[in-house]
Amino acid sequence: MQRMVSFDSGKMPTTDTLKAALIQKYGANFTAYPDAFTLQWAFDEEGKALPPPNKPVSCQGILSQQGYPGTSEVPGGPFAPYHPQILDSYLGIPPASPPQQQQQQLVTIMRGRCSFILVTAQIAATSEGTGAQMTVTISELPEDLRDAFAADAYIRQAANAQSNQQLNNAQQQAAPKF
Amino acid sequence: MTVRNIASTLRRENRILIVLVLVAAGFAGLRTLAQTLPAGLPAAPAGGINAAKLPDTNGVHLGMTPDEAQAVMKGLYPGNELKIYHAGSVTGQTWVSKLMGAAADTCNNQCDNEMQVYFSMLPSPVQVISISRQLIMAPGKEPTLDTTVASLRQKYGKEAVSNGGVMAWVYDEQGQPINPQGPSNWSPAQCAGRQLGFKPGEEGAPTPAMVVSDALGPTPLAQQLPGLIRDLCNHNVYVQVQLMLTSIQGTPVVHAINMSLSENSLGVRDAVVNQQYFDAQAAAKQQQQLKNAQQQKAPTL
Repeated sequence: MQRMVSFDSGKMPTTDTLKAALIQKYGANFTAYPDAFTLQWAFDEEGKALPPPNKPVSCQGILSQQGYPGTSEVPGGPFAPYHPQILDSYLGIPPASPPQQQQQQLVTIMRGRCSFILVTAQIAATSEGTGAQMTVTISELPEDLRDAFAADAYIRQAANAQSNQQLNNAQQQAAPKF
Repeated sequence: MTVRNIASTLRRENRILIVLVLVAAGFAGLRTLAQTLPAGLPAAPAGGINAAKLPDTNGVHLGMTPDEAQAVMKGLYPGNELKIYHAGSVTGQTWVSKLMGAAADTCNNQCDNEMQVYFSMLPSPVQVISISRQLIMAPGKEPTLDTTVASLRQKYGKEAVSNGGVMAWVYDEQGQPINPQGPSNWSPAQCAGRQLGFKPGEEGAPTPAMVVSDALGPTPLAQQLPGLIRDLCNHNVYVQVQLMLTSIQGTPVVHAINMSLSENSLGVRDAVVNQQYFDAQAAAKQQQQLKNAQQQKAPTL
C-alpha cells in the first residue's frame, strides 16, 4: 500500500519533523538511501524490526496484480472491467514455452526479491528545509511472492483442468453427419 | 379493323411464330447436338445418371433434380434458413439455379452451418452439379481429427489424396471410386467444387431480369473446347474436404470443415451442349432475320 500526503505552502513541516515522526513510527533501524530523504525499514512477517536493509536497497517491486487480470484501463476513467484478460500464467511465464526458457524466466523473476516487509518513506524536500510531500510505501514482499506463485499454480491447474475437459469433450464428440 | 391494325396483328403473330420456330428448332438442334457431343468430352453413362449412386453430403446427392434436392434441403434448413435462386432463359423458361441453406445462429456467432447446392441449366435436364458446405464447430463441440477422418472414410471410402488437412476422393459417374493419374503437377484435390455452365440467377421468384443466353461465356465454344477436353478435372466426380485443425494437449481437433462435391463430367457435358444450343439458337435467329430482310420490300419511293 502507498500513502501520499502533500502539504499546503505555509503548512509544511520541516523535513526533520517528518523524519522524527517516521522514526517514531517505524523505529531507528532504517537505511537512508540514495539520499537523506529516502528512508527504508525492514520487518519480518511477525512485525519485528529487522536490521536496516543493506545499501543499495534494491528490492524488486511486487509481482501480484501484474497484468491486472480481468481488467483493462478505460481511457479517461478508472480501472474497470472491460475486456476480461485471460492469463495463462500469473508470473508471465507461458506454460507452452520450452522448460529451459521457463527456468530462465523464473530466475529473472526471483532475482532481487527481498524476503522482508519493506517500508519506504520519501520526503520531497524544499530548499527551505521543509517537506512539501511525503510518500510512504509498505510492501509485504514475501507474501506477494507466495501469492503470485500460488496464483500462477492455480491458473495452470485451472487451465489444465479446462484443457482436460476440452480433450475429454472432443474425444466423446461425434463427427458431424457427412 | 383498320389496315394498320391488321398489319400490327400480323406482325405480332409473325413474331410469335418466329419465336415458336426458334424454340422448336433450338430443342430439335439440341437433341441433334447432344448426339454429336465433341470427341474427348466425358460421355454420359449408359442409362444416364443415377443420383442415388453419386456421392452426397447430408443427403443431398450430386445428380439430384431440384425437387429432390429442395426436399432434403428444406429438412436441413427449415423456414427462411433456405433461400432458393432462379434463372430464366430467352424462351421464358425458368429453373432453380441454386439453393442456399444457412442454419440459424445458436452459438453467439461462434459456429456456422451453411450449404450451397448448384444446378446445371436448361435446356439440359436441371441437376445438382456441385455442392459446397461449411461447418464451424461450436466451442466444446470440436471432434478429434481421428474421429472425423474415420467418419469421412466410412462415408466416402479410402481417400485418393490426403495432404495437410485436405482429403479428396474421385468417383466415376456410376459412383465407383477411382484413382485417376495425371501429370506430377496435377492433383484430384484441385478438382472438386467446379460449377461449369452454372448460372447463379437471383433469389426469389423468377423475373425477366435473370435471362441467361449463354452457358460458357462470350468466347466461342470452338476456342474453349480443346481446353475443356484437356482439363483432367473436367472428367469424373470429385469430393474434397478441408479440415481446419486446432490442438488440445497435442491432440488435433477439428475446428472447421469445408466440403466441396462436384459432378464435373456432367457439368462440362451440359455446359457444352447448352452452349451449342445457344449458338444454334443465335444462328437460327440471325438466319431468320436475314430471311425476313430478304423478303422485305423496299418502301414506296
